[in-house]
Amino acid sequence: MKPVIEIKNLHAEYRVGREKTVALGGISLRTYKGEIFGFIGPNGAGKTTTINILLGFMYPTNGNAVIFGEKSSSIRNRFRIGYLPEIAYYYPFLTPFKILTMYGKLFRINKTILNNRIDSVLATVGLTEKKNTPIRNLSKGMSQRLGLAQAIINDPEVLILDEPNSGLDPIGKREMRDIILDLKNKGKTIFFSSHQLSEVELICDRVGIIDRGQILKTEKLDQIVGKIDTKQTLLEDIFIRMIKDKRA
Amino acid sequence: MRAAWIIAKNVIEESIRKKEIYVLFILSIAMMSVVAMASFFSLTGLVKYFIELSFLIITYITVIIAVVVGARQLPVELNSRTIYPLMAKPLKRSEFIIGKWLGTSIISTFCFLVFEGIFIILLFSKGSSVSGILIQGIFLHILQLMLISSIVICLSAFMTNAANVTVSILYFILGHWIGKAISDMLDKCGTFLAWILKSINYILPHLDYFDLSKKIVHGWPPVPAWVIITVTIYAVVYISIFLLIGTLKFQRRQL
Repeated sequence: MKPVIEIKNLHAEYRVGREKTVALGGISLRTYKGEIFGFIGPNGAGKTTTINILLGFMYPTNGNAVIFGEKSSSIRNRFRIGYLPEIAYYYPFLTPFKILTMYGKLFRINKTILNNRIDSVLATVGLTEKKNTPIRNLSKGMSQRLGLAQAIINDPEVLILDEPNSGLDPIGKREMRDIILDLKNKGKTIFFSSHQLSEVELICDRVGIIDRGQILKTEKLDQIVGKIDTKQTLLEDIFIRMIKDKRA
Repeated sequence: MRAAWIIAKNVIEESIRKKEIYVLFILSIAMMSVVAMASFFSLTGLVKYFIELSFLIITYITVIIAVVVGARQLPVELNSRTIYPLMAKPLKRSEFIIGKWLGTSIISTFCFLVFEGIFIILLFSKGSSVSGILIQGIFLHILQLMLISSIVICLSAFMTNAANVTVSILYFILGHWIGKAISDMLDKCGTFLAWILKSINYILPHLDYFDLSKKIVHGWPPVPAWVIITVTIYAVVYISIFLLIGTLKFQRRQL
């Protein structure tokens, strides 16, 4: 099976003054069509750096990232990708309708189709009533939903979600989970970065565990849980054990 | 270019919601009204006095608008993190830079045309009319605003908002004197320094080429068409160079 997302030997460094910090030390992983891939790791592990390279916000020092067989950040790929940033800020003076119109136009979506799609995605994320409310007046949870709405405005084949539950209350988390599962059922490939392991456990098919710029394990969720313990163990326990073993 | 236009429209929409343009608007109209009233009580050269001061006010205010609007574009997008969802869309970094320049140019040109409209109404009220050289002066100042917008957008890829505003305003002030100052200094310095000064003279755009205010004040006839065409080409070349430099720097930048 051909991977949708393929990362090969990806290295990245940050430079602060004269000091170099290795953010990624040669990670490789694959994501396949129709799966939800959970990319998990503690804060500062390299999750957001990996996503930034996938989207072309950062340049790797070595290695490459490919989506649909071509450079992940190519303009052609961006027509097929939806992205939800970890901390989602949108132009506060615009309304959800206006910002979705702006983003939709960048995808060159026909006006009539775009208007219908805006109504549809706002209904999906439960923001129909806030369609014409300035973004500055939306709560954090509503902004996060708007983030998901803008990520799916182009009906993408691949969704890259960076901490999608950030700032959501339990009801919001539940709704976000349902939306993500619904997108999976529609055949979307989802790259899901999180450190909220309970959420990952509930929705992901496979997980990649990253710490200090190194992939510790990439496997199916049921295998990862089953292999390490004979009893049913929470992903959180396994995750903590792996990180501790690696750092020991 | 469609993507650049979408970015430009966003710059315009954001700018009309900011207070600073309205403050500058009221300030310049107040200053022009004071000048108009003051010249009403004077007897000699009242129209010349009015034209000169009004043109000076309009020029400086519209350049400040271009600099203030342009300088914040990239730093604010980065600080507020609005750039991330935007750059994940099918938008080239060159289109982003061109869009920001286009939006800044449109906003500053629009303000300039409104000020000029008021200026012309006041001019008519003094029994004067619109001359050919005034039309040429308006056209060249629009080119100057587009050029300054390109400088500001280019610099925003290199420096902070505050540094950009300072450098750009300083350059606008010095840019009108640079040619004359360098030619005056050439006779007094050695070969090496003269070579450096000449290089600066050739590299930096001369903003004095866009300034017809003295000719407008003294009622000169219109300048020949070839001069306007040459200055237009000059502006287009420099705008392209600054946008290219800004794009290249922004393309290398890690977001």
